[in-house]
Amino acid sequence: MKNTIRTTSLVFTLGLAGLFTSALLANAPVGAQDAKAPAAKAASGKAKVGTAAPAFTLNTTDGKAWSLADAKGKVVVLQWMNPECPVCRRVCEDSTVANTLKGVQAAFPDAVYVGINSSSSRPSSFEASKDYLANHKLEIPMLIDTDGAVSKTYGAKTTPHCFVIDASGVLVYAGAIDDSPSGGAKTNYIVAAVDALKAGKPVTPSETKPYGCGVKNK
Amino acid sequence: MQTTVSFLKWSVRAQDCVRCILAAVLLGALFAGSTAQAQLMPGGSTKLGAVRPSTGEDLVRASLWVVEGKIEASHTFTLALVLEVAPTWHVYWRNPGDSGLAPSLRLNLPEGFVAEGPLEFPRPSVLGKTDIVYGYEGKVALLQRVRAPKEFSAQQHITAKATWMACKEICLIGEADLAIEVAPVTRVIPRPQRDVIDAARFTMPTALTEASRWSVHVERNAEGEAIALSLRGKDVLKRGDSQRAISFIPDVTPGVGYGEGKPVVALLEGEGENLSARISVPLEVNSANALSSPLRAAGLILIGDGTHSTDHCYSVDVALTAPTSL
Repeated sequence: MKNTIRTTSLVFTLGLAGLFTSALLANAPVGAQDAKAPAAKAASGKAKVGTAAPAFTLNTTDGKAWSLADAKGKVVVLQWMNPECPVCRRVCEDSTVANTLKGVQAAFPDAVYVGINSSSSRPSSFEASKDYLANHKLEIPMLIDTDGAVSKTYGAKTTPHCFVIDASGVLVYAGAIDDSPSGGAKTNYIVAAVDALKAGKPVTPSETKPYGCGVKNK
Repeated sequence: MQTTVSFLKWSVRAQDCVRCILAAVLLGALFAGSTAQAQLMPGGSTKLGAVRPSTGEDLVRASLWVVEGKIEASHTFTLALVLEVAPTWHVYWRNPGDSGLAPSLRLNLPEGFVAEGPLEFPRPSVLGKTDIVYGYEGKVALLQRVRAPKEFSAQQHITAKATWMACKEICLIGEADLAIEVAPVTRVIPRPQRDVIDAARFTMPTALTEASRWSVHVERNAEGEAIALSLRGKDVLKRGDSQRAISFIPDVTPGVGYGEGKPVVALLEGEGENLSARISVPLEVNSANALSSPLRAAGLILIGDGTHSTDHCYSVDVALTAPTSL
């Protein structure tokens, strides 16, 4: 009995220490450090197409805070990314992402396009994020979802899994970037979604099955 | 006349095993370099996954075979894409699950040859621990039916590009350019690949439309919208199988979701002669997301864990556009 109590106490103490350490690590930005940047923060509600997109704040690879609230009034595209995922590399190398970005900005010049890396089980992926953007000439912020919380809130399953939020803050699309996992797509769902928003039409499809590597959050 | 392929028996006597191994070695030597079965082995004789893999080709060895051994005019034959996957890695079923990519086989057929139906996948395993993963570890064969024309000249080749994604902690994509001679001469498939092909044929799902012991019903709400897929199987299991697991895994069907937020019910009921299976799959239908294809509910019923020869697998594919009851 005494041994059980002692063991329980030890487990409890170690657990507290672990939680404290995790909290410290979760606050540590990746890339260029900015000690004043806030911790990652995600709303508790789950993302659902047709409802308000959950608010969140994450640090960019430059250690600066980025909040969804800052993009209020603008169309926002979230694209989950992982430099170690061959599908992510493919959609960059064949210009799928660049063309998507171009299409989004053609419809809404002030649209905000951000990448999110939630690969918390692969820290090397976080470290590679900055070079990944530079190598593919993507001038977009990459957010580091240190503990994977935002990916869980949005139900992001793959890289690249994409989400489109309209100017009123409603999630209008969730799913694949296009209709071809192996390249040579006929329909880019993100561009189709923003074109529909531009035309004042319903976004269809509003949900598709995403393809790619697992998000690899813990 | 089309050659009939007999399935290998699962149990082989030890003496036969030694004989088979010797035969396989001899056959392997005999067919090495043959144009009848082209294989891509980028790693040469290197054991798959033995070195730190950098490409999908380091993890999967692909080869293409004619299951019937030969191709006859005006007959349908079966191409088998055999994927040998490095230990602890996996490739995917046609619905990979939460993430992943299904293998593909892009055929370049000689004039007059026509592919019949889609690439066929044998029963997958449910592999994920936290995420849902449907796929294969070890070796798997995917099958493609092809119809030969009335006349064709030998010395032609069917060429194909196979692609796959192999994953463990990371994922790597691989591809192979394969070719096989269109020859009306019997070619023996070496034992290792023969076994994989036979196993795939043995575990290929049986369509529920061909399994009269099953009934399929689409439940609808007052507005006529499909809300659940109800499957009942009577006398589909042997006595004593009441403890065997039964499950449903969905296909990719645009506009139709399965059990999102509601549990899939899969039960075995009754005992002995009255043992039956009951499966209810909640459906979430949104025709606006159907991508211009007919709305359908589809998937596999898996009985057991796939390790026993009686662990059957059934495929169901039901149109949702009109009230349905098979």
